[in-house]
Amino acid sequence: MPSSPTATNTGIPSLLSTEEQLRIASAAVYEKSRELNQKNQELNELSLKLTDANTKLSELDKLKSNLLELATHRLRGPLASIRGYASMMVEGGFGTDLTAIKDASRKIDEASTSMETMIDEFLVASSLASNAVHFNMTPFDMGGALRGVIAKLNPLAATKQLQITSEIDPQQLIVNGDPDYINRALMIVIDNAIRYTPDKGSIAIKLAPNSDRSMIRFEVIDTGIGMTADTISKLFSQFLRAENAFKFYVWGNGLGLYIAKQIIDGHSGVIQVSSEGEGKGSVMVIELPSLSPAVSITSPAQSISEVAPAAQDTFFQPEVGSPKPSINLIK
Amino acid sequence: MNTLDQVASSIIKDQEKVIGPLAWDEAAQVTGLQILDRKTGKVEIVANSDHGKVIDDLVSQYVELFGRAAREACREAAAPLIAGLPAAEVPSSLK
Repeated sequence: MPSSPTATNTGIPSLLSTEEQLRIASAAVYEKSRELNQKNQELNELSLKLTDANTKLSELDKLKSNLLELATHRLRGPLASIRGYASMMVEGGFGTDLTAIKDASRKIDEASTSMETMIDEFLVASSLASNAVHFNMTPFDMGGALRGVIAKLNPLAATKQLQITSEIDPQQLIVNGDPDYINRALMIVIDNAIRYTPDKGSIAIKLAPNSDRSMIRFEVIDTGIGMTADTISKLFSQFLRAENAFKFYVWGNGLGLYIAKQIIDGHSGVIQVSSEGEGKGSVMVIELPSLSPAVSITSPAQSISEVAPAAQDTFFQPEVGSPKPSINLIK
Repeated sequence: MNTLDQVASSIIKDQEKVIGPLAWDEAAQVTGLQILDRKTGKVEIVANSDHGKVIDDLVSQYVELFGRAAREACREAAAPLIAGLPAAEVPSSLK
């Protein structure tokens, strides 16, 4: 007698069980796969961050190498000068000629000062390039800052009998920025104009709001050595020195305008240069966003009391035959 | 692509990351959903169909195969897109 079909011999329960088991296994695999996918995404993000960090490190490493190379190369010049003159003095090469000894001492002083400036600029350029600089933003009067910079650089201009004129708008020209760094940028631009303008040349400095008063415009126009279009295109790069620049200032390090640009960029400003060519002078322009004159000035160093009450031009006119030019203030 | 077309595309592409090309094969079985381009992820819900139901069917397709985790994956994939939709237009499977 044939046995009736049962759950066991038809195999149906075990088939259902297998289907169910497959479903469960499939869900488990799905969940694991999803987890893996999420981990994979996290890994990709980490990988991108690592790549980015690695690129920045490579750039910093390159900059460090450049700075090191430049430091050894550029510092060697003034150092050789110092050693040479010092050695001659020690060996009595100048005899009792006090004028020659004084001249050698002055050259040693000049070379050591330039070394100090170079080291300072290497450090600042390095910090700016690696975004390690924090600007202490505060509203301040750019007119007052500019007057201070011109006063500091007047002695340098006097040695070259340069005629410096300045037109600074008498009203407060308030910008939001780090006064120390903005001063440095202004100093670099005017210092460059002085150094690369032949003796008895002229430099015109202007500071005023632009036409819609949204920006403060600082302009330096000189009768200096000028530059080619090719030099202009690279002027704000690190370590660039125009070929004709060496004739005028041998100790330059090619970092000044790079630093100025980094500072101005960090203040949402614009720095530009134009020149009609070598020997035809140049015009350097910096524009910084203007703040309303109603904004109170927090820095006492740049307080309104320092600003001249009326428009004034500082007129620096060398007297013929005199090593110390006179300074006249014309209202 | 309208918002629900984008939701469908986003769900399928997200599933593809987990289960591979099978995600497209499963989506192709959903009535009312047209796969226009697998490479770009372009899909379209047929105009005269119930758009919400098509999305629900798509979600069910994955849930039947892979369980509740698949529903969560669909919700996560659709979340940024349905955030701007009125509550009444959000398919029930994604609520």
